Amino acid sequence: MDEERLRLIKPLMAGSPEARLIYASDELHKAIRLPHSDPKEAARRGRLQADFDRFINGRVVTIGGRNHRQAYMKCLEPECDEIWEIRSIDPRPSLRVFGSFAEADVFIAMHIGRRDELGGFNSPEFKSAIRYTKACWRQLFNTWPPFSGSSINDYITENVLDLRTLG
Amino acid sequence: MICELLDEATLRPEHVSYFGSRLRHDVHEEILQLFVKRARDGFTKGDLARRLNKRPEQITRWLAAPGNWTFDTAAALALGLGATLRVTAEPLKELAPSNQFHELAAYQPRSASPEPGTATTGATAKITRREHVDAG
Repeated sequence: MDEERLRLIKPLMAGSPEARLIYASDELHKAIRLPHSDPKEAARRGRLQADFDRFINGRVVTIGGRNHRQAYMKCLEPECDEIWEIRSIDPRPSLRVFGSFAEADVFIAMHIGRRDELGGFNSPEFKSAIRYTKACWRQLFNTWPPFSGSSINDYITENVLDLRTLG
Repeated sequence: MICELLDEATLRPEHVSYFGSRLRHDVHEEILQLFVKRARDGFTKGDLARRLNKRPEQITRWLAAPGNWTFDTAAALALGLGATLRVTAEPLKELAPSNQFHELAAYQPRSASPEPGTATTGATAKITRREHVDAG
């Protein structure tokens, strides 16, 4: 952070809770924060900010597996890579923000992609996005690995609903 | 930010869409909290599906995100969970600042420049945990 390679994403409403944190790589931060003159794109950014604020404010988030297309967050396969996505699904095309946890309740966002450009989960574009995210992590943290937990509450300590446990 | 919102002669599209999403999140969270409370007493996704005459997969989709919800969807889900939703309007200028902060939230990097569009809160770093939600 001192080198300004990571920027803390602040909630839109100053004074609202910051129970969890999202840091963005400088590149991603610039991409989502620069003012946009196209009203449609500006509106999309407003929705993305609301999705980020849901996490930051410590509100209930849903975690899904491969078949949960509406989940707020997913750990991508192979899970041992610890690459997660925050899914901003409304409106379509949805946006996927790729990153990893640095510790419980602290997410490092490093890359963003539009779902229609990423293709399916195993598409070359999707794999490339995952590779890029992993490379960003190495650039930022060298040999320090992403946080790894054994249960969902190791990653998100409170207010999380794991859709995989609903049966 | 609140002053900026109140002073805008024409609201910016990012602000309008932000608060639209935020309202969806508010309603969605209320339904999730209701579901989790009922789940502690053994109420299942299948029970809710039967009450609403829907397939369990539809209930999973609804619980996952409020993307395609209408007011009717929210009302039906609340009713299926034995509740009704009420809406309250809060004037922006009366919103109280939160004291719920992650310990790193107040950290200022040595060369930090303020982020455009946000204001500092003056809040001290303090973590206040909310009630644990566990669907299990």
